Amino acid sequence: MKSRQEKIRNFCIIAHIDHGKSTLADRLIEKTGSVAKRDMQDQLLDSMELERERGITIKLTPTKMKYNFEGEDYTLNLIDTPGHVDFTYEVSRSLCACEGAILVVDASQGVEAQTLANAYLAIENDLEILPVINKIDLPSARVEEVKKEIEDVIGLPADDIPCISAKEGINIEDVLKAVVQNVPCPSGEENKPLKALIFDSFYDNFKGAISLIRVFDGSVKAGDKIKMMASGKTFDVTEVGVFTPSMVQTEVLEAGDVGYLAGSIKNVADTKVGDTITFAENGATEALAGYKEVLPVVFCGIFSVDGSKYEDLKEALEKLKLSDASLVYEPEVSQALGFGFRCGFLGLLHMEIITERLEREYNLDLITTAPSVSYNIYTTKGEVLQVSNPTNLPPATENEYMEEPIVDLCVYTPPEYVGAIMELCQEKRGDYKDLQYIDAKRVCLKYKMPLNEMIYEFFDAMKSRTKGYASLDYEMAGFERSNLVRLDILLNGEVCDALSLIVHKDKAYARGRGIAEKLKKIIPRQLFEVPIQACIGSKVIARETVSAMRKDVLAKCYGGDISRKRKLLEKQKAGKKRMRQIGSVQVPSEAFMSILGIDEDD
Amino acid sequence: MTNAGVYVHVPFCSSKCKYCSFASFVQNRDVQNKYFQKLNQEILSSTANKHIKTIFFGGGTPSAVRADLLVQTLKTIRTHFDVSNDAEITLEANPNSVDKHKLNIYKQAGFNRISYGVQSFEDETLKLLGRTHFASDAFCAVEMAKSVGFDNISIDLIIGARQLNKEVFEKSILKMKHLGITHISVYILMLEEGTRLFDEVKCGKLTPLSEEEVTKEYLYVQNALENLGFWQYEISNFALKGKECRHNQNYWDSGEYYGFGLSSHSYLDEIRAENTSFLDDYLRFPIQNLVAFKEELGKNEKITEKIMLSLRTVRGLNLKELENMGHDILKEKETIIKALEENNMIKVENGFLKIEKDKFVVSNQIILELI
Repeated sequence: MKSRQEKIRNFCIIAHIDHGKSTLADRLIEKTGSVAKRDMQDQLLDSMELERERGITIKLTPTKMKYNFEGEDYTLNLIDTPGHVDFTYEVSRSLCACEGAILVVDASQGVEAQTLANAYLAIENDLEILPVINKIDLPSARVEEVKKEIEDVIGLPADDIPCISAKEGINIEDVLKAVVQNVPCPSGEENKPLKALIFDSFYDNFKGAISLIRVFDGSVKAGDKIKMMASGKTFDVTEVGVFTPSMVQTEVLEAGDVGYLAGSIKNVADTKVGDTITFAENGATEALAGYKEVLPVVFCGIFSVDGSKYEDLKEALEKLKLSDASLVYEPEVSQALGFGFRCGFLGLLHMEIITERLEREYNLDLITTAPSVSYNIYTTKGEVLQVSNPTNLPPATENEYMEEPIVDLCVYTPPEYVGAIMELCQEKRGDYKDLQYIDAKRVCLKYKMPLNEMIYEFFDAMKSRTKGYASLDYEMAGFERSNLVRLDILLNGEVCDALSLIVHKDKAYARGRGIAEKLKKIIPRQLFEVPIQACIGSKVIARETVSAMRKDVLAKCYGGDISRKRKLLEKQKAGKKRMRQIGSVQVPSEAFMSILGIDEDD
Repeated sequence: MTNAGVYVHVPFCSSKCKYCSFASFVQNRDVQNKYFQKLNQEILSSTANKHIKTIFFGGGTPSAVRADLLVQTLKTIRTHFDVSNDAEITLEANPNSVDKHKLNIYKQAGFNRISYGVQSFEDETLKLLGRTHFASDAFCAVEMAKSVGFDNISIDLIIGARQLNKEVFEKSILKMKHLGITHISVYILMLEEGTRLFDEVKCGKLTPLSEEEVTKEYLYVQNALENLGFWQYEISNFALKGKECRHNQNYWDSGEYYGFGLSSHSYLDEIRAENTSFLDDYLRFPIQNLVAFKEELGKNEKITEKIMLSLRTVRGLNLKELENMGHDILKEKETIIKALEENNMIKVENGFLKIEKDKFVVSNQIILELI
């Protein structure tokens, strides 16, 4: 007779984007009968519109499945992981909650950047890796070659691995068998004090902040008084349960179990991913390893197009923050854009998701300023400042020197695009580190690159120059001293703060010229001539002029047709209201965002 | 009893001009008869509680239909309404659709102002616009009108389709003045979707003047006309002193007016209404169902219209009147008014705010700033 823990398997699925992770997860759930097939749509696909649209997983959805293998009933806990580099820390915590990982590799595309990055992450977390080759139904499938890639590149034996088609439901059973046979069972101490890892959390309107947990030692049930070991805060547990994948309340969660915990917790900021839960009294003395505060790396200003909707924006951010603790924001006042917020994100995708959710779920019309990163400023007075908002950069004379964040970048590409990528990386101030041939068809390029170059037209340029064949992955790699300047844009002689940027000195001229040209196209002609200048300090480095409007007359009021004329005027007036007044210049909202995409135009 | 104007729409033409987007049709006599029957019914069923100071028969081409239909309609108006003895009664006409006989009938019936669609003094431009008359027809038409006793004659001109020959223009205006015109309307060509001209421009068959060129021509025409004695009193209108069009002036003064006929508009007792623009519907619908759109103007709409309309005139916006409506524009728009003044776009003097004549070309933008 096997013990309770011996019949549990905790595992996750990891994959490069589009290799079929979510489809496989859906198949496994369907195969084990956890959800009736007709409910699949509602239960699983309903999670978040955005995720489905983009084919990426943003929030984790763990699922408890039952599977009978050789006469024994096993509990399989599938922990989904976010599929994007912005959420690397969340991925690492959910891996921590597992003993094994299914590594999905696309049968035609083979090993990609994130395949490898994820595999390494799993290895670091001591997980048993089960490679699976997916999409074998595609005509372009090259199963044998991909098996060899897995062996050569990742170093895993690939002889007997499941070759499946999640889409067509082929060989899914093989995957379940492999999980039971190869993933180690949990081996927690059931009689020790509680030790549970929070690997994700979300906000529920009725139950408050819900923690997704993996119990390592001991057990937890409703009524227990618990403590978050990193923050030291204590709460009363009101409910524990599992995901089937819908939330089902249970009596208790014990060592080896995966489930959720609700309590008197109002804010997701108190259920920090990576934190360890124990009892408030006589709890564990040592927390699980690996907790860290996740810090935002990309920042931007968010303003409402309609300035009067500041309160709505504030409320929306407060609500989003309830379900996304990694979002940080503080009020910001811009002369050009009025009252808004400076927000910090885990990355560009995270930024995009938040702004899109604000617009969709809260019906807001937003202006976002160009994304920025956080710089270290060493002043002549010996202070160190962290500045992410260009307007807060002290005058050049007060700065001893500045540092900018750097990333380690890996690009995977077919060899024919190496030249294009090297050129791009060089343009982006990349520092070449290494080039490895993975096989005849794939090369891995390594660069050190300033993050501030990555957030500006890098991903799109990479995609277009490699026809989408290259994939990339990066991680933060500290700060480096750099020659940075603030680039200001003046409209009719007045600085438009929302258009200021911090750029490398060598890039300033090109950027300044690009922005001035772009603005000339976007700012409509007005009654007065509008000079546009790009400046570093008081030095003008680029100049364009929007000439004055020459002619705009309403046609005659034919036979008293006045209502229509008035309405036309009212409509035009409403259009003008959507514009921002910078001194005497009216600037359309698009202008603030359009400066992001300049160089790919030509 | 308050004063009001009467507008009568005659939606028939002998041919459709290339730039025309108005409700006008080339139709047979039978339809015309039916139309005028309905028109007269419509007039008779209106509430005649205003004193009529001006009547305007516009189109279309009123002169393109049988004269007796017009005469009958004017008679109906005069019987139904209390029409001033000195009322201004205008008829729009085409230079090539009138003759002495017709003009005599108009005159006898009580029309005292003729407005000719001359459009240009150059045959090539007329052809381009799809007009069916020649430049020379216009002079004859004016001469004829004068000879039957019309002493208030206006001509419409269009600029912007083709470069103006300045010599021809000035000579022609001078000649027209000698022949007896008292009033000139100058419109900048508007390319409206759905017109033949629009399609021709779109497919590259025709290149109208650039914005810059039109602006220059407009400024030239303004100057030339004033030099020849025609005083500009509105964006598009020039007249000898005392010969301003009272009917149009009433629109710009936010006055009341009746509108009869297809797609005509009325503004009575704070309510603006627009008749259907479908000829079939106009002929078929009962009188009380002819209105296709109706709105009651609130305080804000009235203020917006007051600003929009009076700024079209050279006299400008009467600040006292606006204040009486509850709007202190000098205070509300202080900053922008100051900026506009500094840039010589508007002037505030003697209780009026007005757009400088040479800035009429951008009047829409200026008005937008002020509403």
